[in-house]
Amino acid sequence: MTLLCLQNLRAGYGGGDIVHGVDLAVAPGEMVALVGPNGAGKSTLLKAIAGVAKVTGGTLTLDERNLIPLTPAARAQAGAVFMPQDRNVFRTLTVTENLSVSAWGCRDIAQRRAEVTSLLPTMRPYMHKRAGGLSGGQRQMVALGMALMARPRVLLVDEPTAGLSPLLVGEMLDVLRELAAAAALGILIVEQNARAALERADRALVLVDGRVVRSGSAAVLAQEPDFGALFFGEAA
Amino acid sequence: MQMFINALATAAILAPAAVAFTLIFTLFRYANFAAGGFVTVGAFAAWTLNAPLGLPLWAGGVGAMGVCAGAVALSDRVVFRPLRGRSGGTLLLVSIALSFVIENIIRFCFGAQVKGFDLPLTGPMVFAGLRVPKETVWVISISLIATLAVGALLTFTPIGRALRAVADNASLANVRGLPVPGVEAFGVIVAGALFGLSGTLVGVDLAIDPNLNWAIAIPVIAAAIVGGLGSPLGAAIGAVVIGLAEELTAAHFSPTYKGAVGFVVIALVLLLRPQGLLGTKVERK
Amino acid sequence: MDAYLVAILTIAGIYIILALALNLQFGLTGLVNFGVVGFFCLGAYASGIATESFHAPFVGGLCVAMVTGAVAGGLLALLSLRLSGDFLAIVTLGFAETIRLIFNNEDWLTGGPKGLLIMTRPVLADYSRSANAWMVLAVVLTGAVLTLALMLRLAGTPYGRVLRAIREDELVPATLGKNVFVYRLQSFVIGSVLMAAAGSLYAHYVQTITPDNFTTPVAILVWMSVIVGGPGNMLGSVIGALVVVTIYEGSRFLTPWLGFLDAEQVSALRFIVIGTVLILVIRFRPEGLLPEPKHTPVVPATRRPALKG
Repeated sequence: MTLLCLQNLRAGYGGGDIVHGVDLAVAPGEMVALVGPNGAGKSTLLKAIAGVAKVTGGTLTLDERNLIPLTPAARAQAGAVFMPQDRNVFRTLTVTENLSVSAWGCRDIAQRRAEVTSLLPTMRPYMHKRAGGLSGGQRQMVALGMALMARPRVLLVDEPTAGLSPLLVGEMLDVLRELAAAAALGILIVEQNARAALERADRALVLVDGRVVRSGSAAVLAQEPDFGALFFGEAA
Repeated sequence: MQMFINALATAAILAPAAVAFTLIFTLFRYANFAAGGFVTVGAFAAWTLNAPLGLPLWAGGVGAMGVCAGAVALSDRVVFRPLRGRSGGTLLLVSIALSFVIENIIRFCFGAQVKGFDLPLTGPMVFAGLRVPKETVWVISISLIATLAVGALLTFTPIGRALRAVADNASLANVRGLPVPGVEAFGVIVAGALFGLSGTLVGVDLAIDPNLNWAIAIPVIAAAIVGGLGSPLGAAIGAVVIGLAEELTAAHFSPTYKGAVGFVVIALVLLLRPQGLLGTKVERK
Repeated sequence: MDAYLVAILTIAGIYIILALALNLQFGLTGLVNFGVVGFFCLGAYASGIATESFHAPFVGGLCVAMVTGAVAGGLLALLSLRLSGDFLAIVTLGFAETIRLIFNNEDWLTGGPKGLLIMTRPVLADYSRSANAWMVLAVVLTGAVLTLALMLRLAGTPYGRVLRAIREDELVPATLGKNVFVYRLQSFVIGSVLMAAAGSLYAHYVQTITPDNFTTPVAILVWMSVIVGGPGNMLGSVIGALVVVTIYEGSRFLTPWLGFLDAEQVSALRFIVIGTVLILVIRFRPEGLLPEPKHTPVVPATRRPALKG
């Protein structure tokens, strides 16, 4: 059963394509990692799914519903929720407010907040602090919580570990791994720490110059002898 | 003590407009110098409803808030929205030109004569030996209630929370599913209504004429800067500071130098505490 | 008609100096100075007081005006140049209003709202009225031409290129070891001196100055000259000032066709049109009539390279 399905998806920011035809499927409870060298189009692909970058060709469906004509807000409502890499919390709002405001228009905000805090219990001690005053790891946790407030079916996570210490990198990825299992959530993650991501993901795609050059089981890919070369793009 | 009451009366006039200026600044990151022009529009709208049309002043004030909300929303759509993304300096210049246009539209329609509200004469109220005109009591109470109401709206309601979120980071708000254009429109309308309220209150205290524009713009902006340009509460406190400074100037130098107070206070704040009295340093593009 | 033409050309010459000075500050360096009218006013009064109260000759008055402009410009710049553009705009605007207020109130010095009468003129003795008018025009135009020559020279030198680089992005010149603050300060002070000089010429031309001569409409006209002409282009400012003064003065001739309006309304209408045109030009033709010529940047134009795909 697939949740999110991309066929021959092309995307960019209006000045020529950056993603040149990608096929990809994510099932519920599955964590899929997108790895590849800088400038490969990983983030662009994620943003195209979220509606922040422009889809220029191919198909993009969630539960067989076409996402392409929808605005970013409508896509979030449909279940494809994006967690940006940076500036991903409202710095002047408290953590509680950050969560509440992310469920705009919902009647059951308090209930959703309770759900999210039980999924991410490490947030509890700093719920009343302003998000701008949190540490990097705490802030990423809040950003994740904000994305979860929309009750996603598939979570699009853009480099959640950027700028975190190696210890926190593993912790963040473990949280995502557990979330996928616990909430039957599909997770598509762009990650610079390719090895750490492959250790937790079910499947992985290696993207070079906007094309998938290798895909399959994360564990198998991690064992490949030319993995380093693939990751740095020399084999493209 | 009398001086303190005068200062509060001045603060009461400035506060709603300073809150509105701050609101627009946090939402769109530009200093809207047309603030004085919008306050003048409010004063003339209230006067038109009150004196020639014979409505009670409270109705004039409500009408002025509506007219100003419309005027600010219109100016945002026609003038500022197409220029979004231009530099702060460009938007400032445009807002000054807009203010100049507004002032002269008013002059064109109403002439340059000084006007005043049609208010029944009332005796002063006496508190503990202090004689305070009833109008002043009204001005201070209404302004205080309005400022607190806007503060509560921003702090405690979902739309207020959304407004702060959009002001903080509009692109994230978009990704998180907030209706950004709608929230911005709401903010613009609230700001416009506050300008209208300031305009009405100004008319109770001072003469209404088109030259009000710059006379009111500088202290309003000074109050917002003293308040740190980030929080409406700060802007209200800034208004009290400006009111006190104006009264002190009037008492120790000459009442005619009240007009320079705004500039001097801005200069002092920039010198001593560039982030304003309250609030952290504003993030700029 | 002849006299009228001389009068318009004299005013145009003064506006050309003001516009060039503002173009140096805003067009070249990116400094938003809304206090043009403050420096103009300061120069006019400084020069007038020097010649009338202290019996200085015209040239002495001009020098006093320029020194006063330099001091005021330097102080304002020290106060606000370290902060971002909006603050400079607010401070300079407040400065202009405050200057006007002071000159309005201190009538022992300035004559207050009644005005300051200035007898000293930059003319030779014993000539007719119209010959005098031509001589004043010659002095003003000499000033304008000198200012233009200075500005063209400045804009073409490496110095002008550094100013432009600062306008585009202050970080790049800073990393190349240029002291951005000093460059901005210099640009602002040179502009202020020229504005004050224009004020001096104006004072000795009109001979009676009141604080009401120095209000927002003047500032709007100068800004419009720079924007319409093309920010960053010095010849553009000259053309912009000529266009703006022609439109502004020329619109007087429309008054007979607007007989159904009173004088106040006609004046208001002119300002409405001017303000609206300014907004429209900014929106639809921000580069002005004469766009700034493309210059090779000091450093390669690549800014923060995109790190991610």
